[in-house]
Amino acid sequence: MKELLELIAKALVDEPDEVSVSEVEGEQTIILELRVAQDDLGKVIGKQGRTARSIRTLLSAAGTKLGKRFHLEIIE
Amino acid sequence: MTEGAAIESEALEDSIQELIDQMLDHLDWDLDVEVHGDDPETMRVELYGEDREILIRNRAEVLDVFQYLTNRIFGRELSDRRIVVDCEGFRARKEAELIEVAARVSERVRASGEEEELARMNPYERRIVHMAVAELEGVTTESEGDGVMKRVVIIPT
Repeated sequence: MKELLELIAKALVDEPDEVSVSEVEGEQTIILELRVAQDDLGKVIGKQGRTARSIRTLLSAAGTKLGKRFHLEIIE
Repeated sequence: MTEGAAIESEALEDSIQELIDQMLDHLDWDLDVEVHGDDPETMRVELYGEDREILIRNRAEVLDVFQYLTNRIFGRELSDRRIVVDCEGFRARKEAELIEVAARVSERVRASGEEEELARMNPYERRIVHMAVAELEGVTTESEGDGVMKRVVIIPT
């Protein structure tokens, strides 16, 4: 899912080179830490957090099929 | 559409197709995508295949995610157009249902003279209701509430 998150984040932001995702694997949950340029934070969070929520919905649907849980953390 | 706009539209269709293809690849969902840009107002994206169920469960929340994200990503290139993502006619059926509800409630509001509130809807659904009611005599609409999910109120005039 790291690649998926990278793809979406890079498409959303103005500075795709500044996008990085690290994966921290827990026992049941895989945490995806997303870092973007300071000025691009709004682009991945969205109005009223709608963009971040959309990405979380997609990760959750992806997890359901794989029997895994993904947790998105946007690092500020 | 001018020739220049048509070429631009085709390039945009390809970009949308490529992005969704890549997303589906990473997701490993068995779905195919087709983009139709022949309409001046909307860019229609059709998803179909074995994994369609994932898209339409929970009030089609994943279908909405594809629609929302692609509109965010391609907003600038789209200018006044918007992307509508559908899955095997799901939105068309949903739209027909909404228009039917809007007509039924409008009829009741006109008869009783009392306004009625509809269920919470997203902006896309509300737009369909507003437009459907605008065509009817004796009723008008307003949106009520905060956040993304608001209610449409049908009001007698």
